[in-house]
Amino acid sequence: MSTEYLQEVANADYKYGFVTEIESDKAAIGLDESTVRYISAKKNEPEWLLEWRLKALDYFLSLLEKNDKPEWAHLDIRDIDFQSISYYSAPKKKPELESLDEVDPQLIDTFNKLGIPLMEQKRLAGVAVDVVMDSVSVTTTFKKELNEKGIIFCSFGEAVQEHPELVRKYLGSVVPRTDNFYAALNSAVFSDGSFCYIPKGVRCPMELSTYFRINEAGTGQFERTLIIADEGSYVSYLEGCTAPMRDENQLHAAVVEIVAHEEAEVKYSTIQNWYPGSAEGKGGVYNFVTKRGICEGRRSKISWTQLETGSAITWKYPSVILKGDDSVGEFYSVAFTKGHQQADTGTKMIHIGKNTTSTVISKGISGGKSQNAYRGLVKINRGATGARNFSQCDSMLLGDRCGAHTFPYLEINNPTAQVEHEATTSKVGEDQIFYCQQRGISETDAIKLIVNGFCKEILAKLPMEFAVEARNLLAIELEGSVG
Amino acid sequence: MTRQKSLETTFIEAFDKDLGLLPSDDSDAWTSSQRQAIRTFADTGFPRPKSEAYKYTPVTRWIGDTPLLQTPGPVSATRLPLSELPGVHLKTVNGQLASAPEQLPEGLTVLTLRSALETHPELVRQHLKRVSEGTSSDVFGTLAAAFAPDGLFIHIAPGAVLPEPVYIHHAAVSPDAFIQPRMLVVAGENSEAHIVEHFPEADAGSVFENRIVGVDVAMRARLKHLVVYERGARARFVNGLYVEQKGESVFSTNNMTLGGALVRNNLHFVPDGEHCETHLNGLYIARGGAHVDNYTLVDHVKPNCFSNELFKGIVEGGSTGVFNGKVMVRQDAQKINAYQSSKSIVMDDRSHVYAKPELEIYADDVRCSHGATTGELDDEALFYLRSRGIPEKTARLILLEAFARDVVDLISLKEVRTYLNTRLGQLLAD
Repeated sequence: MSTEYLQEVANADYKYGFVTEIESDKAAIGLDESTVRYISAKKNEPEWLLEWRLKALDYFLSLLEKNDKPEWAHLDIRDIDFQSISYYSAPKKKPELESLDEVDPQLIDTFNKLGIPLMEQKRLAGVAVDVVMDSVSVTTTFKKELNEKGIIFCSFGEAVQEHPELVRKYLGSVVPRTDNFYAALNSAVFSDGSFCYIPKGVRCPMELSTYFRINEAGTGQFERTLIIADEGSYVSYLEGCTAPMRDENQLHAAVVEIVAHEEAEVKYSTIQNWYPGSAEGKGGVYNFVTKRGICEGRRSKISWTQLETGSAITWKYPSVILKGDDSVGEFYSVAFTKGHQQADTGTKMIHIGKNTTSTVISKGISGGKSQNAYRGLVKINRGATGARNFSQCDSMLLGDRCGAHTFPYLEINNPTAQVEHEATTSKVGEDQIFYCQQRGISETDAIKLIVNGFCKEILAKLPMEFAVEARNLLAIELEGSVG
Repeated sequence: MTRQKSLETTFIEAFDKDLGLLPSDDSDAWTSSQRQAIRTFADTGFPRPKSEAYKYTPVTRWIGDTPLLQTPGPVSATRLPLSELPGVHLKTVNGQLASAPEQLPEGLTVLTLRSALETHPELVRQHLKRVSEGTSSDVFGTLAAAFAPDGLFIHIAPGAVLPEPVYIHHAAVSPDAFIQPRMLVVAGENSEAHIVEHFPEADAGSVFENRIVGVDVAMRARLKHLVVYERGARARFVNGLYVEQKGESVFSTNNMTLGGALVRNNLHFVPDGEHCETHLNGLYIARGGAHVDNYTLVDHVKPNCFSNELFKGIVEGGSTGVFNGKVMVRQDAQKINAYQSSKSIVMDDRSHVYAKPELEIYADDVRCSHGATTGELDDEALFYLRSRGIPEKTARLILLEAFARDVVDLISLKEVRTYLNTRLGQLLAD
């Protein structure tokens, strides 16, 4: 009984598979200097940024030549031909709109299908949504209200034009262009993304959110997000993703950089639900993301919350560098894999300042033939007196053909540090299912209930409207085609 | 990179000069297995700098300055503190069997490995093959297998229950030599034994011991194993232990690393039968710039097994402690209970602790957990003791001893426990 149900869960179809037909403007296939120049010219970028991109390209190509890809992850990655990808795709019509009525109706339709009624969200939740469709920002709402507070929230391309001094100062300051293979690739060819600056002492009045979608067949998506929270400011940033069903593998290599100055707080939440590939393990998004924040100032705080349910391959380690004294880093994650999905995800907490604190809570759920690994580093530097870390990684197995793995790295170089790590792995308790069934709850609902309970403490960290969506998503993922 | 390559070449060339890399007509089973081992070694090579298993312990760095492959020089006599205890006492010199009592208890056989090839051909051949082909050994083990001139063979006959422990005193080594000992322990069905290995200080200088030990535990056998390593502050030790258990057997090992400049314990366990029990415990004290690495792998291939792991370390004086424990549960190895716990205390800011407790699980009906903690002594406990008039130094010592004794107390031999507690007291008081 239970196996059957779980099997069905694991074979559940991807509910968000559809393609929006919007005309798009594409770069020629392949990657060399001309690609980068093309992208940079398209976006009308200043000379310094072009040079920055070219340096990153040089580094990336040198790694590619040596075939120096990161191979330590518990992932089975088919060789990616980096020369057979088109590195830029922009919707041709670039409307600059004040109201949603002017937005391409098809786009609105897409979001409706995703269950994200933009209008409603705008009105009810008061969320400014910067919609990223493929690579270029299509519409930005609530801009005025943010402007009044001095908050800059716009597409990356716009920020380059309008706030070059900020972009130049912070771009690459957290994730340098030579940071790793995929970050170098992103630095060379990043198309667009979001930029956010919260001035001193401002508490951002609304949740900022962006919806990323990979839309055009055969294009990689190379987002670059930069969030700067100046002294004493606060922002909660949401990012959610779904992608249309595709047969070929789509490459996604994003970079997110966060800078939190003295007493600033940044809360970054993600729902990732890209196409995970077919039941036979064909297709799906390859998601190689570098996300990192730095707690630059004293008493600053960065918190990552993520719900990962999509992508054929996930390679993602949202990290916090705790540089300022008394700074705080948090990582809350739920990773759900099924079918042939592979996930190697976790975090890095680098303690540099004194009395820094980090908390890591990770829940992994694997079903089908998927592999789900937590990989996390907690590093206490020599000068990080009084550092404190607590990590907990729990895994739940929903089938006997999947894998759940934990690879924590604890590096302690200071005697006053207190580092604790614990991990457990188990299956959905038969006794728990039995208990529920006894009380007239169907097995399906019982499993949903148990999984939901398993993830509850993470989902509770998500902003309200996201939490609802996240719960729905988990339920849908579990439900699959089962009624 | 070049240095590493040349280091491997040094070994391969020395082998060629000594024994010849190519098969010859007159070669016996032993020499052929040595040749197979050097081939495996040549194919694998030493771990690369980014190798996950040797991430925090680039062993080759310590081999670099050892005069390699010289015939070991003379040895001096050593005091053997455990030699007075009741039991069977064996002695090795430079890793080779030097003395054994004439009268052994019934069921116990002690031989050199080469002569055991004659008496227990099947057991020994199988072991030689597995090590030389690298299936139950990593690259350091195959290296030892290529060069070990002979080895030690301990056999406990099926059904035999040894009344007293077997002590192996690795009594003497030539100072500063590079030696590669080898050992095979076979516990027959339903047998029961306790093996204690002691590596005393023994004027070892900067000796480098790279050893490979195979342990075969047959159905329903119960084998206990203890290693006490107390070589001097410059000694190096790569301790390869590869245990294979058959159904319903119980194996426990306890690794006390109290000395040495570099110690790498490679502890591999394959409970290859249902209802096996595996206990592995360890304590290490790294002082004066020492580097101690405990690498453990419990590879659950069969269902219904239990494994428990406890490692504790005290790291001080610019030393490094590493714990890399891995529990692997293969597909279809259901109903596994596997627990792992690693605790370490860092005493000063020049010391480092790296812990990597891993779980790799492919079966769903399992209970696995691991926990790792690192920190300094508990302030509250210290305060409690001091508030009762105990000076800080003594209070610290009490807490450290208590921390260490958790592992020592798991040893079932009272005399050995007493010895270790005294030694710990001395070491920690320093």
